[in-house]
Amino acid sequence: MNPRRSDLLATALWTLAFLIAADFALGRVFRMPADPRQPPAPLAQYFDFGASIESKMRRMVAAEDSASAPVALAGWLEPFNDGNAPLAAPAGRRLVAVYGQSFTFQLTQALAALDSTILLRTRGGPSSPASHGYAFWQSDRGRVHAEVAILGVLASSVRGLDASSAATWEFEAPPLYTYPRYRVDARGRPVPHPPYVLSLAGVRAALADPVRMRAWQAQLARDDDWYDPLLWRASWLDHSVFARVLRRAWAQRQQREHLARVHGRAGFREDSDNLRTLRALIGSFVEGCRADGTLPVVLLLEDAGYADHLSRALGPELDRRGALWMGTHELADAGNPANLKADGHFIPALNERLARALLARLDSVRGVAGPGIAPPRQDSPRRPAPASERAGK
Amino acid sequence: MTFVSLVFLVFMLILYPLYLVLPHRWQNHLLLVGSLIFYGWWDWRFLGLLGFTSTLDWWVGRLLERTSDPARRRFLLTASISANLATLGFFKYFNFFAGSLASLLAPFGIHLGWTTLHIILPIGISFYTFQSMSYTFDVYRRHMPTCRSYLDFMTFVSFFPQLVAGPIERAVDLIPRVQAPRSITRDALTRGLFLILLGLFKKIAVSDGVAPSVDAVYNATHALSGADVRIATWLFAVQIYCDFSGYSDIARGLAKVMGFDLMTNFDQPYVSVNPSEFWRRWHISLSTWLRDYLYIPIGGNRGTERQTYRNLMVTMGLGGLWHGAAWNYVLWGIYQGAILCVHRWFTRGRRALREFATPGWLRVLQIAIFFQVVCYGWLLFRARSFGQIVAFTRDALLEWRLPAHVPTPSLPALAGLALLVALEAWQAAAAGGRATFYRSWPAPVRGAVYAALLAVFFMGLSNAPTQFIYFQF
Repeated sequence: MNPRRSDLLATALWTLAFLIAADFALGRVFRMPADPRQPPAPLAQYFDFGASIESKMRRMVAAEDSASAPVALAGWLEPFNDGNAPLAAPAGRRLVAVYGQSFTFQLTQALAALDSTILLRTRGGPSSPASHGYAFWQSDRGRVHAEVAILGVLASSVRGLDASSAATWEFEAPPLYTYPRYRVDARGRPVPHPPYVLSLAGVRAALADPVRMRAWQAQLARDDDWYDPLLWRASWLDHSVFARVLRRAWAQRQQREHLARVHGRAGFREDSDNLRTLRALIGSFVEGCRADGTLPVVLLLEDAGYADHLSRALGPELDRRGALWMGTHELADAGNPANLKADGHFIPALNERLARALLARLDSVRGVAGPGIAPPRQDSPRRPAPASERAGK
Repeated sequence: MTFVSLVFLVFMLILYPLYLVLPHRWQNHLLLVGSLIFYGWWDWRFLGLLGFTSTLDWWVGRLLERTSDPARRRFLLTASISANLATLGFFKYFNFFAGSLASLLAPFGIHLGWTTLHIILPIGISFYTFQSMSYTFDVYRRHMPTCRSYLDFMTFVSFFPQLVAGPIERAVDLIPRVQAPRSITRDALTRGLFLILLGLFKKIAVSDGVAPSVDAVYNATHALSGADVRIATWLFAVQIYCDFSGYSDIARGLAKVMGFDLMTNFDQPYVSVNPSEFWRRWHISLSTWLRDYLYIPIGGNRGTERQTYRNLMVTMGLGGLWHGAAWNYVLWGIYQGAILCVHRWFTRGRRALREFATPGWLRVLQIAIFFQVVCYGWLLFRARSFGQIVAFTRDALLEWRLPAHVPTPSLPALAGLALLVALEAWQAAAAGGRATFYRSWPAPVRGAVYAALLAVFFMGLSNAPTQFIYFQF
């Protein structure tokens, strides 16, 4: 049977018509809520994953902070605002300053629940990479008098170290905060390259002024290896569901290729700029804390897909510096879904187990050597965890 | 390069327009050069092996043509088969057998200083070796004339659409198509484009979409529930079918738009009700190759029942080993042989179950039951170790804890699977299994189906890509 040309043409036109109709219908049915504070329906969010970063920002950022999406408010280094975060501990308490993301905060909240003398000061943002936490710690130096400073390094956020905006490397559901891109100088020290936009007000200004937006994009092109104009800039394609779906596919491809330069099946790549920067950052953090009379603690949060890769990449460096650190894989395999909540975070029971282990290590150092001093070798955090800690692993 | 890469798209955008405007002989030259580029893209060193296999079998064919002495002809055939199997054996199985031997001798205190070599496995070696060997067999049996043109023969062996993962074409079918001028009809073009779309849809939207869920269980380092094992194994059945049949669809589609007809490699295997039917529907080009060049020559079902069972076990065991250098593939082959023997014993060689004449509801029940039998085979196939086979078998059969922790497959995978099941069910129930059933639909209905396939395919492009499973074979 040889189909007639008219039949082929009709079929092609019907196919196109159905695609256009489906595009329109899906766009109407699965719309993002007009109010950015409202959580979207899962399918609406799915079909919005591929929208450009600029169009997502326009939807998330309202004229007032109170009317903007909560995630848009999170993680900004400026304006400088301590809110309710304590600067020093009252008598009988000890201040623990925590820099990181939700993984770190959930674990340290469990820590505070175990020891009522602990008072937490938490700074960070969603998926905060170590450079973001480090920038917060830098901004606290000289003002905050903490006994312990904890830097939480999340394995899946190591990729964000060669970015200067969470929006570029968290393309699908972007937080908006920015942070310095650190580069390692000849002496191995991290040198910050500050972002063009420092605050949510700066985002508003850039969205309202094309000149500022271009300046921001120019800075991103310079300092943010994840920046891709195709993914950033808004256009009429944002109105098409299938164009967004295709853009999402492109973004996934780009991000997979980028991530492959940072992390492979065997672990973090030794030749990656991210790992070199990360080592410089934690080294600077450890030395800086000691200079300030604070006990530095580095938490290596190894979430799903990373096994013990972070511990293997950073452990030797931390040991060399005599720093107190703990890798979560030591106590819990994030590859086991039973250890994770649906959103990928550790379950409360695991956070509690990790917090107990951390508390034991803090207590073993406290009073033995004083803040900022390397723990004795027998208390090395790299020793195998006690059986009680490993239970349920 | 693979079919699902941007580089292949560029490759086709250059090759195909040229192919359309060139005369027949130049088309063949273009196909040969294109196929060598396609294959060499992985590793140019692979080309040497492809050249060796092709040259060897072409020469043997020429020599067979020049002699009618049975002993000499037998010698030439044996030499060709031995050289082909030795090449395949070295590159694919040397480390496997050397490692197995070392493991076997270790308990006796015998430690081999060398156990494995650093051998790269040339991609698709099993496929093109079998395809090339089919030529020697067919010339030896005088089923076809010798191919005089070395370039035509090279084009036949290296034909890029089916070079690395089949279908394993017979020389008697494909060489004449290479040699004769080809016309590209509108019918072939539309069918070819549909097959390409269907194959891409199966691979990218469905197979790649369920792969992470399967991997989460089969690569797990933690305790699992029986539900995890069962769900992951069902999903693997979906993954391997959509992966492999998707590849075959793309290969057939590419060949069609160039004027070639490749054999159907999959014919709705999961509507089978017994192993005999399954192997008439699954990887047809391999099962028929094994039947014609192995099973029948060693006796087939011409001897006693016991000999027939032996021949089935040998054929399927070697078929399992063909898949890969690992004991789980051998075990899978033995399992397939065993269920074929059981089925044969049960039906005494007759088609007692009257596969195509049972009432609808009973056939659906039989399909559902036999699907579990097939899935256990997939468990053997996918397992990473003998210990995992034992543990998963125990969990799948005896462990009924809930909940399952298998990650939910992606939305395009679920939507694609629903669409695929609907299409296959329609084909099986309403169209009597006719693969071109959709062509009788009115243009608006066809348009709706094509649009649905395209829409899900677009969504599926976000799935993390995985290598075609059969590339490793």
